Amino acid sequence: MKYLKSHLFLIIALISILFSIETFFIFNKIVKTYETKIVQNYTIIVVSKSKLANIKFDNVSKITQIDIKDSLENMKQQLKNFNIEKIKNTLPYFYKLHFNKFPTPSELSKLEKTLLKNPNIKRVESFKVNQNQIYNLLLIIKLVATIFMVIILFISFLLIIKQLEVWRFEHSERMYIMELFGAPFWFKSAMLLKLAIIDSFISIIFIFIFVRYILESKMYQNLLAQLQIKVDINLFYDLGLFFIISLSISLIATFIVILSKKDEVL
Amino acid sequence: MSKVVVAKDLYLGYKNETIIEKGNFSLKSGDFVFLTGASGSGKTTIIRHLYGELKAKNGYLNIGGFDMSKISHSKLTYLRRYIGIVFQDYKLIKEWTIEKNVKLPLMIAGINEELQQKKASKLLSQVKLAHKADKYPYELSGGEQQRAAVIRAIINEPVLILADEPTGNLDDYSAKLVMELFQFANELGITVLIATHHLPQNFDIQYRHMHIEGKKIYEVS
Repeated sequence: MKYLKSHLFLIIALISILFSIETFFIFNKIVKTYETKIVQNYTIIVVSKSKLANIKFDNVSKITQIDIKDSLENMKQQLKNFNIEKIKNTLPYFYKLHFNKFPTPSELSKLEKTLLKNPNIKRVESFKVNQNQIYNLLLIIKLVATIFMVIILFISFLLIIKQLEVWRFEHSERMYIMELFGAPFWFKSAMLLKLAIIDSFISIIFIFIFVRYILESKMYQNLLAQLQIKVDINLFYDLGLFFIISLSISLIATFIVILSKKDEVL
Repeated sequence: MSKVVVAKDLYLGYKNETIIEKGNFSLKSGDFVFLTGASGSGKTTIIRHLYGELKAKNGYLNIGGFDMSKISHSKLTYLRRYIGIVFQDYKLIKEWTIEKNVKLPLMIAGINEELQQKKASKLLSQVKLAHKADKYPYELSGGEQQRAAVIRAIINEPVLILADEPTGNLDDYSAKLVMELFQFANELGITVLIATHHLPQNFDIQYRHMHIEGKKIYEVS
């Protein structure tokens, strides 16, 4: 109980930091996965008077010409005196532009402008209003998660400073006594380092439970179902990474306590 | 006999205050020395300089062959393993049992656990604290805590023991037991310097007496 009291701030701070980072990771992965999904189906249509040859644009993976033969055949069946060859000669060329990466609204506007600078291009249809609604919403959520992460990191940093003051008070006497008897750095630090490692483990366990709960929650599953995506989250990889982050923060906090104590005694 | 401490023209004190002026003294191996003086005369200041917590304002202070004005942090750490310290307020680690407190210098020296246990048990039995080995400092009386603190200071047989008012908080009986422990340490060949208000009564070993008055250190014959 006494241990928990003196370490509560650090554990809460670590859990908050890791939780906010994981939230950011999850949204980032959702957006990335959704991007991958929509980029496969997303194209923009370009209408040109001449053939588009050897033209390259950023993020455009390929340009395919739309075959209008079937459409003309349909029209021929419906209309009398339909001269398919004559119509074909007067029609412009239709192209689909495919992308490597889902373009942002600004990238799309820039591409449109670039295309329309070409005098042969008569029209560009990007369908951006319909296609981008969900994506933009996800981008907003991702932005909110990022802001949330920054705020949490700042507050957690303040909590860690507060915890350092408590530790400095709690451990200074013991470390001072050890120093009087010639204890080397590692000996004086051993207990604090052990506590730092335990704090990291405790925070990792809490994060594992929280994240597992979120990933298996109906709300999260519904979100993925509505977006029609499957997000692969390697929880054990994330936990490994988080353990390193958590341990680094704990160790830095510990070394600050130890080194600040060293300054007080010769 | 070799000199454990050598002080020449020593000026000791704090930032804006000099407590000891032109102090000259030395401690030889096996010496038993009482350092007396009124409150605030500089007894604790001398002790703090001798274990390297403070640096002299001026003059020469050599402990165990180390010039204390030039000693590095790592060498000071090393030197302190050969100095046992006893305080009026015991300075036992409150989260540790008495036995673990007593073992501290041996743990720092890297002595194996079996030997640590053997030495600690022997000394705790000698001062009738064996049955309290597993207790925490707050569970012991002041006299018992001070006996544990003295054992901690002598367990690794240091070259020098520094004691700052070790009997200041104790009743006569406990004070006598603690002084007997210092006597025992001295019989092992350890140099002992005790800062105290008054010389103990009926102390039957040969000792030196240094006295501080008017910022000067005098040898009392």
